[in-house]
Amino acid sequence: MSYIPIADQKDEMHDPHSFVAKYVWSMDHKVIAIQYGTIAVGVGLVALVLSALMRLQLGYPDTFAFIDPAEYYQYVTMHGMIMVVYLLTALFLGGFGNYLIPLQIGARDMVFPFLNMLSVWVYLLSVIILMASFFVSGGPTGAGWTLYPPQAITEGTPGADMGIVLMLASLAVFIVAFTMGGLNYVTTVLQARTHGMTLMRMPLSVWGIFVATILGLFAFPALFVSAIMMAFDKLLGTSFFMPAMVSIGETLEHTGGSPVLFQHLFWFFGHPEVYIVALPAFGLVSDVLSCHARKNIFGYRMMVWAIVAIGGLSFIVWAHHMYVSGMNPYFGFFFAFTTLIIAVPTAIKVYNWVLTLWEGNIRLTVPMLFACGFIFTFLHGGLTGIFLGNVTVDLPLSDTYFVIAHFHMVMGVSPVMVLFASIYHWFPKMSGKMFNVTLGKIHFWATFFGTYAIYLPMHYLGFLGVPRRYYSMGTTEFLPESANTLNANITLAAIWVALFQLVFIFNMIWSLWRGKKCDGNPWEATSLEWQTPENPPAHGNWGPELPTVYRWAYEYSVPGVKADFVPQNIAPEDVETTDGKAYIGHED
Amino acid sequence: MSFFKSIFEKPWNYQGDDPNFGGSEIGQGLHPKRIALRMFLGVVFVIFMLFIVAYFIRMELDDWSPMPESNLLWLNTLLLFICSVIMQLTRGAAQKGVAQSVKYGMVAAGVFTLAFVYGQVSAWEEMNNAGYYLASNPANSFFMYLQDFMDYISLAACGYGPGRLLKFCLGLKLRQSN
Repeated sequence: MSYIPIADQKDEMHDPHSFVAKYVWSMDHKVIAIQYGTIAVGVGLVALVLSALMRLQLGYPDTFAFIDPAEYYQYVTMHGMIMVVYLLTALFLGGFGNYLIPLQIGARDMVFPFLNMLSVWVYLLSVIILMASFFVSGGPTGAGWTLYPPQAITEGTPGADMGIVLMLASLAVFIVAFTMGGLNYVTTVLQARTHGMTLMRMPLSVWGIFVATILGLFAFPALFVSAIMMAFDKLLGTSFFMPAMVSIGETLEHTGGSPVLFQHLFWFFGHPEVYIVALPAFGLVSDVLSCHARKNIFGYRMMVWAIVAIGGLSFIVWAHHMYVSGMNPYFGFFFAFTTLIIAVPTAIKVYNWVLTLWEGNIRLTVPMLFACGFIFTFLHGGLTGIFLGNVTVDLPLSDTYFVIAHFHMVMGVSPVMVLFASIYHWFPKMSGKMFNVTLGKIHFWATFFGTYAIYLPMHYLGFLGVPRRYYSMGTTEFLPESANTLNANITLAAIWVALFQLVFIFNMIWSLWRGKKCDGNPWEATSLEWQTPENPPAHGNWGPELPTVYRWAYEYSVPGVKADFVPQNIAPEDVETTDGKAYIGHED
Repeated sequence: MSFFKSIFEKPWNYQGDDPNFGGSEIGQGLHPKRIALRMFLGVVFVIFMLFIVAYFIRMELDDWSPMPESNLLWLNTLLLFICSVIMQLTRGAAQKGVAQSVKYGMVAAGVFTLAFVYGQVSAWEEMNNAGYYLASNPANSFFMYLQDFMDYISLAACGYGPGRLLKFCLGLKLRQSN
């Protein structure tokens, strides 16, 4: 018997009734998305507190007795790993991926709901293992988020006993969770699209999440392999990565392993990881910009191709993180070249976002403010990336604050701007309530200016030669006193930004509880998730009939049409035109 | 329509009233499990490819000393090959709906898989007895690491197989009783 496509299958809906089935062991993609989001934000807040502690130490050295050098390195490591893997990856793909894919492609759920549920619980397990490292003897690992051997597993590094083992175990478990979720996202996009939802009619959010998931599925194995090999080195005394060395006066049993091999494996994962976070952000921000500018996204096809091209190229740029590792110098030439090539599709996307805004009927809503904020921060982070992508510029800057400023602008602030834009944009759909706009705007301006106050001066510190990874500068003669003053100011800005995130949390919780009820499509958006019969969408999303799609998701301000948007699922004969003639949409 | 052909569509153009315009229903006739399995095999392929790349890079370093080839490993390879052939035949029987053959096929494949795992463990013991310990040389480490990985996959398949067999036989019985 041949297989019947999902969109043609007879619907069998099994609504959960008990509290546990509905909210705990739920297989509904929307509940799983919120579970992913809640865990990710929870663990992200831990990382935020760690960053505040780091900044206190850097801004006011010798003031906080409870932060010793070992703890400082543990804060650095845990902050980095949590933010990159456990917050951003999980929130973009597990959170928004789960929520938006079925709704935006017109499906009732993910194709493997049980696996989806398993994925979130295994993710929680990985977070618990990671958090447990705070409570074991020696504390969490302080090896730096890149976990480079030999120091990561050598006596003397903070958390070199249990901390690193728990970190490696947690990463392996996270990758299992991600693989379960990732297989679901890819299969759902390919198999569960509703009638008329061709690949090129999908919103860019889905494209971004789809390609990022494929990247994740093929990049995380590198981390998995290296984590297990490092665990072997640590626990069983093998020498995959550990060279022959003397530690604290004692000759270790390891012989001739290659730390650079670990770096290659790590960055084979690590660089695509940048795009695992960035591509969903690119997609989400494209949808937010187009909707609030009341204009179709500029160059849709080019945007899709750029996402696919960036995804492919991201696998051949990894060693630009390793210019100072001692690898073959000819590699540097190759990887600088590929790094500059990947800037081309990335630049295309930036131009297209700006051109989407050009002559648009811009509504400066809170999501739009964050989306515009993203364009600024991403542009700044991206441009400094071109500096660092070149070997000769990278060598002197590699170990300075310039790198910290660069990757926080491009990988930290920019995706977080998109996260906020997306949370504010889809909050009315997820909750059925509207957030407080004034608090949202306060949150935006405080965060936007605050993050610039943190990271712009760091570029300058980098040019001065202020080294990164240092617990304290001490009496470093080549640094002027103003560098220390600047560091103190950066700390104040960081605390300012951290405090204003409480405004966001308050706004979300308060609005969820007391916010004004809103209708199903408060932004007058075109994509399918805004056309659900109920708000928030009920189990199964669409009621008895799946929607039929007639056009792409960017039909805004179409000449001759009464409303300034035409939803994807409205049949052409139902579109009201100003002159009463039949609607034909755009023409080339 | 291929993926690359479909991404050349111009979705902003008026596309008539046909909601299936473009027809880029990639893989819509395939069962989702089949797509997911292909993706998963891709992931497994990448894992093994990375192991192999790491193996070759590590091999170049001075302290590498190759292990002797054990005859037992050739026997194990043969067992694995026979197991794969049986699985393929069982698949054919399942497609024809011959429950008895499927049952025997799955049991035989399970036996050969367990024999393979036992053979691997024996090979490991043989190496240990000859003084080739896990940590004494990177070549040994890779051998045992990869072997471990293969064994876990085989055991996982062994655990999964009987479950599928039971489900299949029950399904067939139900169909026959209808």
